[in-house]
Amino acid sequence: MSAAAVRRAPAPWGFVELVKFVSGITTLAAELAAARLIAPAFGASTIVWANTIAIALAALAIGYWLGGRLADRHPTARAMARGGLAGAVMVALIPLVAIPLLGVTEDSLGEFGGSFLVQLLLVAPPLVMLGALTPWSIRLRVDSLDGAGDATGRLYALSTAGGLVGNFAAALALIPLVGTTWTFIIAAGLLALTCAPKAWSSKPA
Amino acid sequence: MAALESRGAERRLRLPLEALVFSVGFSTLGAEIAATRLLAPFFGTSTVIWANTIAVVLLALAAGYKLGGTLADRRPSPRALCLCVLAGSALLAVVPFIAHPFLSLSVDAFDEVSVGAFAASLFGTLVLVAVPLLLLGTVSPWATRLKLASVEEAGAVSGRLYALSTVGSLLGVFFVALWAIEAIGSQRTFLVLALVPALVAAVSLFDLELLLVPAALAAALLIPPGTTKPAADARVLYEVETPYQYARVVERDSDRARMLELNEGQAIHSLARPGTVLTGGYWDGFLTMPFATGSGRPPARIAALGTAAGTVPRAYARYYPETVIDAVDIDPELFKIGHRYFGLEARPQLREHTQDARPFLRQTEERYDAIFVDAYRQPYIPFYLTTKEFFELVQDRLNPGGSVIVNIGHPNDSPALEEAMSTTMGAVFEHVVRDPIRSQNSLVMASDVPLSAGAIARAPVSSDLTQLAQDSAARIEGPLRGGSVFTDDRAPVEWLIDASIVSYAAEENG
Repeated sequence: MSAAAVRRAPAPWGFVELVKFVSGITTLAAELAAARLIAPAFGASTIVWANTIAIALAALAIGYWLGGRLADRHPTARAMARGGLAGAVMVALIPLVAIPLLGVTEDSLGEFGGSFLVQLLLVAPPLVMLGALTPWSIRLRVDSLDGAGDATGRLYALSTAGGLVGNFAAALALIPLVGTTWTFIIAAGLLALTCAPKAWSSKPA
Repeated sequence: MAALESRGAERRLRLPLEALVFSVGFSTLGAEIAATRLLAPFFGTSTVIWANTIAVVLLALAAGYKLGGTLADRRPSPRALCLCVLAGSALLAVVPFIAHPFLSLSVDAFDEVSVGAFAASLFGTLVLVAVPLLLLGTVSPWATRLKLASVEEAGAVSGRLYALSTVGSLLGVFFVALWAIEAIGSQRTFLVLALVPALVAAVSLFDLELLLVPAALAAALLIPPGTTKPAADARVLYEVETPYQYARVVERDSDRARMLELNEGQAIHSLARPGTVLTGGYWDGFLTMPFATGSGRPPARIAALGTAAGTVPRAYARYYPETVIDAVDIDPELFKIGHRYFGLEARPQLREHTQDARPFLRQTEERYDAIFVDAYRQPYIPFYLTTKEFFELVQDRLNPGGSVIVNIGHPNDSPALEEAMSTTMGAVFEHVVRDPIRSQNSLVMASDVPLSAGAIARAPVSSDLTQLAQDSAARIEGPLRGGSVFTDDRAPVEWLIDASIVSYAAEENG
């Protein structure tokens, strides 16, 4: 890496920042919509809530760990965009897979087993993908050790701000206005639109 | 160069940096949950309160991340990081002690409907929580910077630390929500949440003076917590944090009536007056309204979804002792409170189920003559108990000629929720009627057999209930119209109620 490249200040709002912010929105909107999806079948008792939060956080943790390793192997915006696109597709599939899956599980399994299985099959896979984007964005933005703290802190903050927007957009607007199914589709579409242009760009960076 | 410095410095720590990241993850998300439980007895858990809490917490964390990144590049020293954690922990520990004056302000604000005092109380408390979270938020980027030896491993290092912090958060959430609030109360929960990262930071530095910070926090655990919430013109007989909410039993000085309040206490969930099982409230309507089907006898089997402390089952035990009741409530503490304070007696005809109402109804093999729906998570009815799919399930669990009766609140005089629910019930059942029994509550009844006021008026009831039946018959009318059919996919219950709260607040200040 040349000295010039090291000293170049990163663009404040590049592709990486945009993906991080939008994936924060998608993650929180999908989590809220998933709770809404599961409640009619299994209710909202403490045991169901505990399943939901445990699987969501564990999936994100696995995604962070896995994403970090993948990012060091493929430190390109194109690879990150493809990861984001895959996550978006998985989010959009949640309501489609949910209808037959909930139909089968709600009569055969109790509240604990049913909510655990549904959450594991439907919600965990996209959250692993979305979690992976966080260390990926850090890897792409850290171009010197001296600025590593600043780049990391900024991306964490952006992701959290995206989560805040996603939380409010889903709870206060999308779920009441367009319903649960469309909340998933809109949240996924937003991320897919952000990632798509770079996913097939000829330049790997 | 900086990398070599920070690596060398890290080796001087007594504990790995990972332990600090993990403990701070535990503490931050734990504190978010504890903050909502600290606010609930005073403000409730409506979307308005929830949204403000989430916004303040996430903004504080986001600012902390940003600040942590900047500080990390300027001071890539583990000692500075540990000192920051100690300061954040100490501030977190004082939250429950300073919060109480702010929170008590809200009690008067509710009484006087003062939006200004209400907002001051809410944001005062939230700012108290935000400052320590901002300081603890600095840890993740700071630790990433300290751990990083080369740009090529930035992905793996940041991913691993973020994952560790998230696993810590998971434990923090479970610790607070599933154990600590109920077992040790919110004051000591905050102290433990502060103690854990403070201990890790102090042991990491192993500085004798700094070890005094966790020692002081541990000593503070001995301070006895006082009454959670004071009451005016009434005596608090009992208060408890349940897995779902803050519950308390108060006895009014004027007539010795006992009331069950949940969270902020704007609604009374159960009522017992001395010497009678009648309440003068909407509960009494469940004793006479089922006769509207024209069956001429009380229902033989009922399911009461959302019984709280058992006001309705207690009255049934007195007037219709033969009726078999499945009493369902999600909160196990409320049955206990019913037995201890509300004269609910265990008997073979009363079967108690601690379960969410909808899974209960789906799993039951029983068929009912009447199903009563009175399940609230204030100020909302859980959305999945308002939908077309839910009422289809209800219809399937009813015997021929059976009926369902739903208690629907009118928060701040807005009929929007009752309109939509009546329309939804009408999409499933042939007949729907309403009894506007109180200014703030309607009982809406649906069945596939015709429902008539005359059948209630002619009901063969005990002389205590004759007047109630006549009054109810006089009030029975057709359902409210308007609103759309709610479905599992789209049931904006919270939205309708929030809109009525906001417009009410706006009028009060207009």
